[in-house]
Amino acid sequence: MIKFFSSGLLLACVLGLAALLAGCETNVDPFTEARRPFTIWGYLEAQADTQFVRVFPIEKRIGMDRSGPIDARVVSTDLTTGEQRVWTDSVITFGPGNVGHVFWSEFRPQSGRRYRLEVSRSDGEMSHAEVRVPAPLEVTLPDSPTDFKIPVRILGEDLNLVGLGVKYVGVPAFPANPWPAGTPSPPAIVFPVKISYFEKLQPISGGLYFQIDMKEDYLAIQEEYQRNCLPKDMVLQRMEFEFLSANDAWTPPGGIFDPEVVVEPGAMSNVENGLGFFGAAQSVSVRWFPPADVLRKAGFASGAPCTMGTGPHCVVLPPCFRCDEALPMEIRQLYCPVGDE
Amino acid sequence: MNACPSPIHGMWLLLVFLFLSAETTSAQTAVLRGFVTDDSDGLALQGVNVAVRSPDGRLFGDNSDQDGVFVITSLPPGRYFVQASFIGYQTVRDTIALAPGEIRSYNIAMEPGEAELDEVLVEADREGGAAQVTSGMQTIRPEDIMLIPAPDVSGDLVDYLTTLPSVVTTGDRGGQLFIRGGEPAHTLTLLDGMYIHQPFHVLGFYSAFPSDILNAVDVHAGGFGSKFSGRISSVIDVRSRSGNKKAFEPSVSFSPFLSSAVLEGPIVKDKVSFLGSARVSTVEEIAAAYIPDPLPYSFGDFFGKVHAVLHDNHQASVTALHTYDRGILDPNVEAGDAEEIRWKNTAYGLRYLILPRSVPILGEALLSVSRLDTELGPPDEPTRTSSLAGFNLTVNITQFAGRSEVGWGFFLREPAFESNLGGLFQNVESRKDRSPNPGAYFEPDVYIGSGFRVRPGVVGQLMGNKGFFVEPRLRVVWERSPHRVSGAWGLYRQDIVGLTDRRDVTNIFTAWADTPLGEATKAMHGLLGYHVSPTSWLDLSVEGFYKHISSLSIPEWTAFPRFTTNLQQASGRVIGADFRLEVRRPQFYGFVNYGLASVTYTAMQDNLLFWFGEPEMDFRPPHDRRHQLNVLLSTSQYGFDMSLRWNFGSGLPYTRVQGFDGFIYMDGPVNVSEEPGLSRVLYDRPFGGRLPTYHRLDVSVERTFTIAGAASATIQAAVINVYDRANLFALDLFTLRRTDQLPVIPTLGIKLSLQ
Repeated sequence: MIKFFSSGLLLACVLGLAALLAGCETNVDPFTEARRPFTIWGYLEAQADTQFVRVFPIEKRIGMDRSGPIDARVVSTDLTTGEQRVWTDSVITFGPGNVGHVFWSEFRPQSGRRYRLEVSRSDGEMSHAEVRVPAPLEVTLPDSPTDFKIPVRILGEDLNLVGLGVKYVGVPAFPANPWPAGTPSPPAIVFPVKISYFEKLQPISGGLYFQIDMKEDYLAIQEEYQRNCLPKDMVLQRMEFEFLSANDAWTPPGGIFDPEVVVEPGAMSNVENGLGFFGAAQSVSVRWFPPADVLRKAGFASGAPCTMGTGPHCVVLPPCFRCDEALPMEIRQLYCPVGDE
Repeated sequence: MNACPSPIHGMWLLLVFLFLSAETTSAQTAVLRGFVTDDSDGLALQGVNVAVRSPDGRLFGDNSDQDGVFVITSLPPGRYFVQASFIGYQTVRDTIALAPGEIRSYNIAMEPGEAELDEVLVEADREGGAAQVTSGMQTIRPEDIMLIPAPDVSGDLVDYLTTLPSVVTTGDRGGQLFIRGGEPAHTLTLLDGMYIHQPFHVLGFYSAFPSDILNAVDVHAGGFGSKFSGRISSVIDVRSRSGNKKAFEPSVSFSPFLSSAVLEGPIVKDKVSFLGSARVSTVEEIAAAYIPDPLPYSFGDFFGKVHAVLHDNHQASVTALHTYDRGILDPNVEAGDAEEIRWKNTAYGLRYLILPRSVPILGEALLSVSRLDTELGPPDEPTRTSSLAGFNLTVNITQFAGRSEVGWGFFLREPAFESNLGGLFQNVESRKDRSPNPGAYFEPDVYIGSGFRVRPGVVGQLMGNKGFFVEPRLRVVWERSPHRVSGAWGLYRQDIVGLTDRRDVTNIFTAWADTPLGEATKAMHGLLGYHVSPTSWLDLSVEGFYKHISSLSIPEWTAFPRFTTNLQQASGRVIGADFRLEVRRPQFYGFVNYGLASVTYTAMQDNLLFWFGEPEMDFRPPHDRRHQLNVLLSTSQYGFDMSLRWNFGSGLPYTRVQGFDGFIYMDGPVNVSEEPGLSRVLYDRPFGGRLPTYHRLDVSVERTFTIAGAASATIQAAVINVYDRANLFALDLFTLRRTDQLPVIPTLGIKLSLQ
């Protein structure tokens, strides 16, 4: 009997403890104290008449659909003159479920001046950043090159180039074989390829220098075309250069832009009490048309691309072409024998 | 490559030398050995005390092992009085005469009944028991398992495993067990020598091992010996029982979660028997009808074994196992988006056991093939697949010399894996590979005297293209009743890994692969324990342990809200202590297990410096449960067996968030009016938060009735989570939807048996 009561007592103790703990906290709040109100992305562009920044309130819900008004006021201050500007909100639909707030202001920032951007909430919480607009830059390209190696010089003070790339804008060169008259063929598509030259920059007196190797680039273009199930040859229409000389803070961790790194909060951020990045830049955009002789030497294809219904037609398909239901009906009727789908 | 043959060659020379020296020894003294079985069913009896006494009073003896084998060596020629005794069986007495150099086969069949009090006993450990832990090893018997309340009349091994002090589960679904800080893929699970790669079912109450088929289970939580290799954390060595060799015994059971059938009996009476078990879940059909939570789980297992006594000194068995699981762990997702996980284990094995007539050794040969197939996604078009298959050929030899013995053996394994990860780990491609793994081990177990027993060991193995590795190990035990002090140390390596994204507890898809980030994962174990039995009914033990793990592969952290990631290398440290108290009274049994542990991983992700300002970062992985307490009370009153289990665990780590915003990749001139940007999660420091504590009370009451003649019915009523604690299983940070573990569940089960 004593044993029975002993075990009963133990049981009662455990049940009692269990009953006590049953009332313990079961809720969980996954959010830390949110102190930073805003994330800001954008930069002051010295060559532009209108400036833009995108503002994200830091919220406790995921999603990019912020179609309603947000509690944010954006003010910029020229720290040299003290001039203040209140930026205007614009709601932009970027795609399904992606509506954002881009604030804009019409003014042209001056080189060498410092600007402060404040994004504040009605309760007084504020994120802010300060930037200095860099000095202008000058780009020189040869007028009449004869070789596929093109020297490029960028001159300016304290250059901090970001995202230096050369964009080859062209269309795939489908083999031109005649088809029966009236047979429709796929339209030509513009498929540009961007080649990075950031790592090939060399310092020279008063600026930076790099040399474009169009022949080497063409091999990379052919690889990219084949990766995208296109004929490997490109008919080049033009080359585009965009040079952006940025303020010092616009430097990725480790000196290399890696989305896996810079996506981390604070990895490249100059926003105080907030997140994101607010920069300042001088930019130069150049469209350049290489001579036909240079294009030929570099290996680019010549001639007109495929067009819908007229001109040369396409009958030789890239090796990765597959008949499937995703293709338009007219393409399937032409390229896919019955029973091949 | 040139370095490889040398150590193997040297090891073989040593083995031959030992073998010859043992033969020399046997030429001078006699050996008595054989199998001990239960005379009523022909099953092997483990732990039987076999003692031989010479006319001048000298005492020799041994305890039978899991196969019923006993071996008594170094017996001077002459006449001996033999006695075999075991609780619940009539003592066997006999007199034999041994000639010089004789190796006598002497099989003993024991009849159930009352043992006599004037037994001659040799030193013996009590097999099993909650506090019986020696150098990290604990033996679990089916009767231990049956004490744990569960929603089924027949018990299951996993119910007992989850009561062990430092065994952590992430929930009552998912089938993931972490033993002393090790990941599930770091645990070697063997069934009669066959590899079972995913032994736990999707619902946490069940594994591939129902208690109906078990003989005994050795759980090595760490510091395991050289006989085991290829995994770095722990070993679950399951030994199934053989079928009844005298008579047929069918049984069936039904419960809201599971229905099962077991059939065993002789194929050739006294020689060959079979044992078959089939279990099929009834969760979706029955339990789901009265439990409010969604239970989209289906699982089952089929086990078969044929055991044959080929002769009086050798036996063979063939074992087969098949399991299947299907389930959706995150019931919050929309029906169309539900990511269903499925896996299947299939294993076949042959085991041959021999006591040769000419040498005093026990030989064991194991040949098995195992396969695990895992899929995630729609049944017809899985988005991720992984398979692990391979064979295992192992030969184990035990040479006996008085109170010491030498274990040695060799093995050849070749796991082959094939996976299509659907981009889960972006720096691991879909792959198909093999990793040949030949090796050998040598492990003498030497009784030094004064209660000291030392077991040094070494494993030498070639791991695919990783190289040849030597893993030294050591086990020391000092015992002087009522005290026992034991310790172990060892190095361990593993060249195949199970890659799992532990950022999300509902994502249990495990991809088996060759170690993706370089060298084999390795670990160093050290442990020291003390056990005392102050009275015959009380056992206390404490064991401290330390593990250091390196070359781990874990997911990288990213602020992109996506389900794929890269892998990064990490190392881990586990430190802790297990405290156990066990009480055994005639009508009461209970234990208290408390585990205190700390698991720390050090991440080495490239961008940690930019993110946190540290090149390496220590964090608590999601299975770091600091405190775990299990209390079991069991009593038999008025014909009813009642059990109560209370389980408490401190909160598991998880990653908190600061909020959500958007990200625009500003790697150059970007027009923010046109660039759509990406959603971003502002994670706080990884695993810096802590979930609420976990605790649950389960109770069961059971009674067996005789229906007619040899037929009986066992009825069990149980309540799981008696006070309906809302224990958190998973929290979706994106939607803030929580998934709780199972609510209060009453169950009623019945088992019908014919004996």
